[in-house]
Amino acid sequence: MERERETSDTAQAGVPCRAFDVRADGAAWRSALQGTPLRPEPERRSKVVVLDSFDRRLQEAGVELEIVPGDRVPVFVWDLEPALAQKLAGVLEARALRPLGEHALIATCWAVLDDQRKVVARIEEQVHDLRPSARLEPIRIRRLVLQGVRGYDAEFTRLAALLQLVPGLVPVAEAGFDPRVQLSPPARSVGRWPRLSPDVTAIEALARIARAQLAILRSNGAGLLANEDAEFLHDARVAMRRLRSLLSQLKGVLEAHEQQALVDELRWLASCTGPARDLDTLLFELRMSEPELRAELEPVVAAFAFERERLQAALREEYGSKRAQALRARLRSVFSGKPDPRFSGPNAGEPFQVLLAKRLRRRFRQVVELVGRLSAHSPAPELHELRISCKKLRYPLECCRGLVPKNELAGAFAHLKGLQSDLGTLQDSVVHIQLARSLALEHAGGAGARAHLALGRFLERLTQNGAAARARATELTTRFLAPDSRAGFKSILRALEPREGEAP
Amino acid sequence: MKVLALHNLKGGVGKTTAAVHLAHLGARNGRTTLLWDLDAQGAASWILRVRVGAGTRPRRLLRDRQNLWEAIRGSDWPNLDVLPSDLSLRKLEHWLHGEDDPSRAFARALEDLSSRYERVVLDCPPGLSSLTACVFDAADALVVPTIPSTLSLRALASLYQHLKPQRESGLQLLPFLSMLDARKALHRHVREFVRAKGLGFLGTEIPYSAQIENMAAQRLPLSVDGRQPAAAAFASLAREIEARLDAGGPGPKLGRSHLMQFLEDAESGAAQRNSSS
Repeated sequence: MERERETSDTAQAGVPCRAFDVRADGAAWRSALQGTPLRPEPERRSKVVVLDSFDRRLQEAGVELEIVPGDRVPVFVWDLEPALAQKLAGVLEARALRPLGEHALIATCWAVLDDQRKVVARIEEQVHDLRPSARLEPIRIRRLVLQGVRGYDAEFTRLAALLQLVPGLVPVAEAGFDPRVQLSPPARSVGRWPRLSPDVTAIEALARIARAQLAILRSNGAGLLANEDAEFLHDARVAMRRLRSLLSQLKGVLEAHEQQALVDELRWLASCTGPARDLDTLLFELRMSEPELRAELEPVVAAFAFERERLQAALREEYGSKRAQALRARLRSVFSGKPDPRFSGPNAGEPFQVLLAKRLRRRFRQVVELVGRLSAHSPAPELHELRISCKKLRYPLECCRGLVPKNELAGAFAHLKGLQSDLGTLQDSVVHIQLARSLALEHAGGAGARAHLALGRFLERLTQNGAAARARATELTTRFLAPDSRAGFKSILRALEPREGEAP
Repeated sequence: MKVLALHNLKGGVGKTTAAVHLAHLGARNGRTTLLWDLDAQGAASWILRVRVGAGTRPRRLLRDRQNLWEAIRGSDWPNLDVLPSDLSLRKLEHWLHGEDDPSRAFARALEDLSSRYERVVLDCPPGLSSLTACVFDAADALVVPTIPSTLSLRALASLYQHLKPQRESGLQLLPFLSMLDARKALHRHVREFVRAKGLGFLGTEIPYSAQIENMAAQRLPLSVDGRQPAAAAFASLAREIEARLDAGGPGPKLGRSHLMQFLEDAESGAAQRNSSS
């Protein structure tokens, strides 16, 4: 059975804890504490297999997920126990879980006593044996951990000071031991947003942003082609969309013909990935249904999963095709190295923040107009149009990082993110209902009446979720038009205006 | 967080030993637990080897959150902390008397504690006072160790009556037979009556045991790993209470009319025996 715990639970909240790496004689600390009464406590032993997603989502969320060696490895979040699945669904989404390796711990424990024989601290000699799945060589780490007892801080301080002086004991910053630091390969650091300065030209800024998106495409491409995890496709799609949106919005930065060609090809590649992503998210929703409904839906899910394999194969073919390779090569040649005058448009040398301000102003006006036209009964396509406009506003807004104070950007993002999220839920429910109906007709004919009735209940729930998201979105649009939201955007635009003495 | 209070109008019925064991077992099962010693005798604090720290004033416990946190001491067991007490606690009673809404002040302190603890076990002094009134308002369950005697049952019936408003607001009253000595005819008689009628009693009975008495001298809760029947009884009691807490609701009724009838029968029987002798 899988077990989940907070990474920090080795140290109790509010209780001091200090850990040392043992680099030399492990018993030297006992001489340093001579005269302090120690009472042996029961030894602790454990052996677990540590799980996480390819992009360390659980580690980032401060959660450890472990299973006992030999137990069935849950592949997706919906394979976990229902309560745990519900808790981790938002963290893992549709990412696959991978066994990072085995972690065995033997801890020899002592209680430190005062003159009343009261426990005032605890000391553990820990031996961590780690066997990473990705490598053959095991790793052994020896640690000494001093754990305080609440209300006996003075004793803890005294003991910590004594241990600090013991040769071979090296203090470590984090008292809790996280096996994933040793077990998992280095985190991917690709796609980091480039650092833009106020004097950067439009072509240089666009090239840096494009290179970051290309790095995301590159790092997710291999996973996507190997069909390792649905999230590779998601991340690649976001990078494609962001790049396409910025290319088409920042007019005149690239030579017009080049710009149009790249936008068209990116649109084509994105369209190849759409059906597979829609089905991935539909399957996620189906698999996250409550256990009874999920059991009834199983034949439908199996039929849809079969169809997913077909769509994934088609996607891999398109993503690895000569046309897609040519697009990536073209993007690299346009954006690698110094700006090439052959690809530069009339606005290439303009200050980036001036162009950005123009785009933002226009996009913001457009969103405000659309929001103003909406009512509680607006049809779904109008809400979808608003969602697209919000995305188009968001991408240039992301480009403001480094050019606008963080707190001002955070406020604008918060307004936009909430609205986008609810509009997204609404749109997803519309897409999922259509997709599920057509797939059920085409591919799940043999699933049986019970499964189809369950699907009907599931679709009914999607409709309700969509309606709830619509109600929330309507409320959020009102907030979007509120004076503080408008003032936030205006102050971002002001921050982008050239200061006195700077080139206009 | 759930709040369990150990209380009885009578003293010497096994409240403290039950409180210590319930807290110890809760912590052992992985629940972060605080035992709040509300009895000025400080017996629970003594058993768990925790002393009241310097600068802790009972009045400030409820007024000053920092003081409340600083007064808490770790026990010798992981997950189990103690808010210790000594004779100075009697001043808290005096302070509560002067408060406009003492129950609210007490509930607020417990609310704060919920950020760290999953269980709070309150070891209450016997009798009724401003402090126990606050406890009755704040607790999720009132665990009542009851010696199998007519006086104890009479005290339980009075408490049941007294707590009507709190019971209606969701307080669970969980009496159990404590210090049961099967060699005594009255204990056997009361046990049979309780077993036959239920009366909302928990099924677990804590036997009268020298091991339990020794526990206080050794300052060590009974080990559930050992082969001590009393330890097994406390473990069973803890499981039963947890099940009742999970189930929620007011729990079974005491069956006060049955209880009063039993007491009348017992008393008239005793009177007859006296007159015939």
